[in-house]
Amino acid sequence: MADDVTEPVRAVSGPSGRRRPRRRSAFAPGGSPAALLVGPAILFLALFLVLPLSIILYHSLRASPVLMQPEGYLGLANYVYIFGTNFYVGVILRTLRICAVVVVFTLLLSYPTALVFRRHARLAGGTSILILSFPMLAGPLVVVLGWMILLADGGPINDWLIALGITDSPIEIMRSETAIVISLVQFTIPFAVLNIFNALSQIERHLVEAAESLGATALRRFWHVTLPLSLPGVLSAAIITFSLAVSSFIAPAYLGGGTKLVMTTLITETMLGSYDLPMASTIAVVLLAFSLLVVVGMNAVMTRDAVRR
Amino acid sequence: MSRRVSMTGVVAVVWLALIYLYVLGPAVVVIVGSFNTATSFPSEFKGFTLAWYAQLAEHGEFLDALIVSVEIGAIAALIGSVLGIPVSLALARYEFRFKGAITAFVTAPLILPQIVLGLAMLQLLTAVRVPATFLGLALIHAVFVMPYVIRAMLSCLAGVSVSVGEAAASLGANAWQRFMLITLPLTRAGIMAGFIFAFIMSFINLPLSLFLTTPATTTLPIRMFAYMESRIDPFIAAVGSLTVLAVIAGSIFIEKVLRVRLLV
Repeated sequence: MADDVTEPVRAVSGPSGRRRPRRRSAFAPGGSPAALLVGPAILFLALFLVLPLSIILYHSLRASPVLMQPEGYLGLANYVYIFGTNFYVGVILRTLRICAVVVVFTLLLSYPTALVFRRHARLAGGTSILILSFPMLAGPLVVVLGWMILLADGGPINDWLIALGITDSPIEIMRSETAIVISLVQFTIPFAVLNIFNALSQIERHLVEAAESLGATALRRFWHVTLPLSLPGVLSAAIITFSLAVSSFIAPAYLGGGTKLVMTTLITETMLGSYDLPMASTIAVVLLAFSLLVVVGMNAVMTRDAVRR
Repeated sequence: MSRRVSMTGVVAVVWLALIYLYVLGPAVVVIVGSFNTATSFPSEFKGFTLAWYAQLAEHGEFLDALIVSVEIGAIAALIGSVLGIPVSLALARYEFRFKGAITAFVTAPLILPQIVLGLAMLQLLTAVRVPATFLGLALIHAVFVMPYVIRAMLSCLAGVSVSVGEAAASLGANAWQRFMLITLPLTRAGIMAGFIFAFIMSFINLPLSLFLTTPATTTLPIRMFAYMESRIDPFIAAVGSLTVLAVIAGSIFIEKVLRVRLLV
C-alpha cells in the first residue's frame, strides 16, 4: 500500500531549489538538454500511467449492469448512483472517518517523538531514525501479519488486557475499525516523524534562543516559535498520512474483516466479487480524486513554503 | 534545575521506548513467532525451532513466487533507473519551464492508490488485447518505483558540486563525455542506492499486483496474502521474517555503506 512516501515532493525539489537558474527554458530552441532528460520518463508515464487511468475514467462513464441503462450509454449514472446509495456513501464516509482518526493519532504521537529527536541530537543521528523506519521499508504486509497475531481473539493483546484487569473476558479487536486504525497509525508514524523532524531541523536555533533571552518560558517558546515554524512539516505529515491511509488496502482487507469495507477493498470486492468493471472504475475514480487533491494540496503547501524561505 | 533536566530526559526516554515498542512490535512479533514450535497462532511460545525456515524449501509455490518477485523487482528497478536518473539530473542541474509540474507528475505514483494503478494497467492490457500480465506487472512496478530512484539520485547529487562538470566543459568535454567521465563515477553510490531502494519497494508491494496476477505469475506478497487468507502460522511468519531481514539489510547497506540518505 502506499506504502512509502517520506516526503516525495520536497525531497525532489530540495537540492534543485538551492541552485540558481542556469538556463531559462528547456524547450527554447537550442536550449538546455533538460527536455531530453525528462522527455523519456514523461512519455513512459503518459503511456503507462495517464493512459491506463484514462481508460478507468472511460469505464466509469459506462453504466454498471445493475443500473440497466441502454447499450452504449456514457454518462454519470454510476456517480449519481454511488452518491445516492446508503451503502456506497457509508463506505466513503467510513474511509474518510478512518483516515481522519489516523491522521489525528499519528500527529499526536509523532510530534513529541520528532521533538525528542530534535532536542537530543545524539539520538537522531546514527541509526535510531533508520530503525524506526524499518516497518515502512518492510512494507505493510508483514506489519499486518504481526497485528493479526497480536490482536487475534485469544491472542497476546487480549491476554495482557485480562492480566492487567482491564477486561474480564476476551474482547474482539479484530474485524473492527479500531484494529484498522491501530495498524495504520503504527505504520504511518515513521513517515510523519520524518516530515516533522525535517521541519524542526530547519528552524534556526537563534530564533528560539532570542525568545529565551527575552524571557519567554519553555512553553511560550514552543507555542510562539517552534510550533508555528514547524507547521509546514506537520501539514505535509498530515497529507502523507492521509494519502497512505486512504489508499491502504492490506490493513482494511485483513483487520477489518469482510464487513468493514473501505474504498480500496470495495474496489476489489466489486471487481473480483461481482465482476462489475464500470462500478469498480467509478469507485476508483472517486478514490483517485481524493488522492489527487492530496497531491495538489501538497504542492500548494510546498510552493508556499518555498516562497516563505 | 539539573533535576528538571533529568526529569524531562527520563520522560523523553520512556516516550521513545513506548513509540519504538508500538512501531516495531508487530515486526518483532512476526520474527519471534517464526521460531515457535506451535503449529498455528494464537499460541504462546512453546519452544524454539528453525523447522519453518527449512520447510520453505518444500514449498515450491513460494519459491516460484520469490523468483517472479525478484524478476519483476529487477526489471522495474532497471526501467525506473534508466528513465529516472536523467530526470534527477535535469531537476538537480537545470531550471526549466513547468519544473514544478513535472516534479509533481513524476512523483505522483507515490501518492496515487496502488490498487487503482494495478486495475488501470489491467484495463490497458485488456484494451490493447495483450494478455501479458508479466509485462504489465513489470511496467506498473516501474511506474511506481521511478520516484524512489529519483529521490535517491537527488540525495546523492546534492553532494556533488556542479563546478566539476563546468571545469570539464571548459576543458572541452562534451555532454556525453561529462556524463560518462564525471557524473556517472561521482554518482555511482546514488545509482546503486536508487536501484536497491526501487527493488525493495517493488519487492514488498502487494496492491499493484493484485489484479495482474495469474497462477503462472504470482508475486511473493500475493502468495503470502493468499496463504494468510486461510491460516496464520509460524511458517508464514518465517516467510515474512526473511522479507524483513532482506529489506533491513538492503536499507542498512544504502545508508551505511553507500552513504546515501533516503530518509532524512
